[in-house]
Amino acid sequence: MSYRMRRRAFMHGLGAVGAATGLGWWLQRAESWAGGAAAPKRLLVIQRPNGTVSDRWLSGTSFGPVLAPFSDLQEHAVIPTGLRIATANGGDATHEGGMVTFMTGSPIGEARPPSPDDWRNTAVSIDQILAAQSPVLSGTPFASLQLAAHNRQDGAPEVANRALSYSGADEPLYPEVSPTLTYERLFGGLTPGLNAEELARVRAKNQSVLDFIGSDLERLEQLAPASQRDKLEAHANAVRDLESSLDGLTNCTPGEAPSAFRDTDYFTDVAAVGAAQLAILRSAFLCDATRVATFMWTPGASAVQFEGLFEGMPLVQHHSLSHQNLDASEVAEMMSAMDTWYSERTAELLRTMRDTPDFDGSGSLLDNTLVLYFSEVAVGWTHSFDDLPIALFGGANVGLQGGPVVSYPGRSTNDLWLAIASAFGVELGSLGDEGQSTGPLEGLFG
Amino acid sequence: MVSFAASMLVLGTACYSGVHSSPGLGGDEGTDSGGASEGSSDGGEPNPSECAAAPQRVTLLSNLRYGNAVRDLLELGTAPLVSNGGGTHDALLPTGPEQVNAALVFEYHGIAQAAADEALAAGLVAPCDEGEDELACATDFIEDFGSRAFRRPLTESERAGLLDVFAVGREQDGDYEGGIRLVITTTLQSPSFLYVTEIGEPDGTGNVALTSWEVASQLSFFLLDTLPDADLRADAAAGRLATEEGVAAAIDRMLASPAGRDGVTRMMLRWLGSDRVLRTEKQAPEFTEALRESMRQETALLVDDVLWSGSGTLRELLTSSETFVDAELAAHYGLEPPAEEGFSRVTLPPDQRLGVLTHASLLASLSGVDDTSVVYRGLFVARDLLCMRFAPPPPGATDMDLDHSVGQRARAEHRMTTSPCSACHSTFDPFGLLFEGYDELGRHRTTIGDAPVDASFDIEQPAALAGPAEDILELAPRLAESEELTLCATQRVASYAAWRALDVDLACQLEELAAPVLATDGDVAEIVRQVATSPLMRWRRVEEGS
Repeated sequence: MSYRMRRRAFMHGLGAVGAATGLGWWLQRAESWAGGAAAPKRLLVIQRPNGTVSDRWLSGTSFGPVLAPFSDLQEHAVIPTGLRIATANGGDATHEGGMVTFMTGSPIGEARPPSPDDWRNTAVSIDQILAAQSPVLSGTPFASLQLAAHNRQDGAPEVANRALSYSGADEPLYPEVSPTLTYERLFGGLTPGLNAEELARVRAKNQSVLDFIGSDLERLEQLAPASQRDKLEAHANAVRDLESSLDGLTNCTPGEAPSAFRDTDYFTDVAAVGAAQLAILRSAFLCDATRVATFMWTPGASAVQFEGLFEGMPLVQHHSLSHQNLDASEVAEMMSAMDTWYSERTAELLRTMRDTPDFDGSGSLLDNTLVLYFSEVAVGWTHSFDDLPIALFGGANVGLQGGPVVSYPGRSTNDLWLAIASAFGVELGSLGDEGQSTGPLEGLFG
Repeated sequence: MVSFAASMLVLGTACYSGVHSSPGLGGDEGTDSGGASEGSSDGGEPNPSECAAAPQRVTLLSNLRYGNAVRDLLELGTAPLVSNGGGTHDALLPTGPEQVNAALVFEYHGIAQAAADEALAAGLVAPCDEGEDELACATDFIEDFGSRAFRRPLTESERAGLLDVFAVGREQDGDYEGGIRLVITTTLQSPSFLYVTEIGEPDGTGNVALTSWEVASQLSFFLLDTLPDADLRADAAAGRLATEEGVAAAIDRMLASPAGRDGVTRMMLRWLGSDRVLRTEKQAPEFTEALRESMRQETALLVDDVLWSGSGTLRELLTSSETFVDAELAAHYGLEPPAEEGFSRVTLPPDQRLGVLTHASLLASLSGVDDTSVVYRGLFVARDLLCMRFAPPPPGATDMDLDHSVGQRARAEHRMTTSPCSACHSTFDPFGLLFEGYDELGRHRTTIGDAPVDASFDIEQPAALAGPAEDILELAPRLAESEELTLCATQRVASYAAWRALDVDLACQLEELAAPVLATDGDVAEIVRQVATSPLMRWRRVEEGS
């Protein structure tokens, strides 16, 4: 096939995404794919809060009512059972403990006083490792995205429940909860309709601003003690993302800008914000703005209130309900209805991804994405981390295989991360403290 | 005399497993690293403290302070709101690291542009009359605006850099305003604006004095939640904030000003957490937004009144027989509606209410959605007012094996007598039980279901509060008189002032504060003054090997 042919095939594939201006980094990358490079791969981690009701998650080896919304996605699903967060068991068994250990694969640190359980994380999270090290996940304008649909929790305003990703020890990357800001950051960098001269003027001004910020940051880095360098380095990385924002993703047409949302603790508002965030995320993938994202529906120990999920269900707050006896059928009924509610909305995203062709025509978005769906505890009322409810989704191009249910009794979630890292071309060897990983889970990826 | 270490440790160690007993408090750290330094670069006094100071650092402005600073720099009508970032100042204790991420940096950019546009539209910044030399105008503006934003004099290269920025904006937009706009946009996104430095001018290891400029920022953000005003800048420029006397003069001036007084009031309200009632939800439909707002205002009005028209003491806050109600709250409390519109001062029925602890703002926000909470209310007294520390519940800990219909008291008794719950709950549940005469909406009650309320308990610890109490009305005066309360208030104010968690970095300095704050007799403004003038606000420790 001649170069010319391949290029045309590529431009055709782009039609599904929108008009391309064909400038800059993106075209160069896109051309390299059209020239035979591998299809894009992505990692998306989605969290929902407060655990599940285990016999309604899976019923034997079949999908129970909580997983039922994913029934038509079974061929894309692997439910690994028996996994535990090895780093978080013990006295630190709390929502906070799950949040800071699951993705870091490392033990909790000191709590932030005066809270007895607002644990600090002690390591960088795996999404950040992969965003930096994976040859197939790195190099996009935005190294990674952290989004959420809600950011309040039950009880004290603790840090640990509100972040999933960490750029380092005690360095939470708080998720963006405003769809408007998410959208503008990714797609709103340049006013549409500028001519070349106007564009050049805007860019010259932006460059001047960024130059000053850069030199000021350097000055501060030199003055500050060594212990402060990491946070200033994180600032430098964020400024690099700002450069991408200001340049704008001129190569693709994102969806409509989101409208303003009500910010409440009520579930229908969370649904609206979440849907908008996930629609933007889908656009970001299609524009290849990023290949690594974490999405939190709501924080650990979420205080979102639900009502009327089934006939006669009163207004109930999720976290406080999760502390009631799940052996009581009316409690289990309400808990699983809430968990199912999150499943339905997550499944909706996955179906859209399944039905959307990727920009390079290599398959659907879901074919090229590994989605990990989990909760920060297994069971709300005991805060257990054994048999964590995790579901993986993805397609042929990420090599996920062996579904729909695979049992890994007693294995650590760190072994799952080792397998995932390997699937994205990063061999980590081990994760966490000694004994907290034994090697990549076998058979998950082919 | 009760020491800080005792007040923080005694009860923590009684609690389950003790794994989270306070690190090093009351221990022997303090004099090993550092010690008093030889002097300060500002020509100030040597550090009088025997304690190792808290380590040097740079801190991102919290969202509140960032917004206020932008507003005050540009004389905007309202402070821009920031939605990203982790830090807030709506509690007296730091809630976590404030750290930049990409979303926040992007938000700063948008706010900076909008603020520059708004300021220029108002025509208040950087005026340059026709015929004046634009470059001279810009140079003057950069000098003034830049040094206010960075809270120190500009360096030579910063002056030059901002003039370059002006030139680019001037050229690309084609007018003077374009240049000024770009200078504002740049400055408001610069790390020197966004980070408060606590570095000093170290020339070795050990303790180092913060510069007068840094001290000005410490004082101003602590008390006013914004950047230093003209008076503080003048103090800093003259090097007056390098000594305790200089800081004392500045803090006295601030405490005499309405803004400074509001700052102290705000601090006390954050300690009490009364604003939380606005975000509190109940199943009862009568718990309307308007009622919640009335509850919030009651506490704000009383705290302001006690602090600035009354005795100004913690004692009066907890034992005032008066309060402020509007028609809605009067009805809620079962009082006669005030004769006039809005809030009026009333005297409370002495058998029903006494001081802020019986305000509905606290009682309702420290309850569940359809029931009171002995645990929340008890923890508030033990943890927030007495600074006791508790380990988290052990895994699987629950009283869910108990039928909840037995009521709060039976559940509390179960927790207080059943291991492992009893280790902690026997300390704080008793305080919570004393509030059982108020329902989850903060209404006074004499029966629960068909049974008469029993809110009594024989308090055992801490010793200063020990003895039988019928209800919180009987305990509040004991609490109000206790040294523990004064020491805890000081801990919280100090932690807030330093914006650091109460850990080893502050423990030694808190010990040094104990004698002077106990001498204040619980006078809130005096406590604030003692904290502000202490070495805590002026000294830092240089890291080894940096």
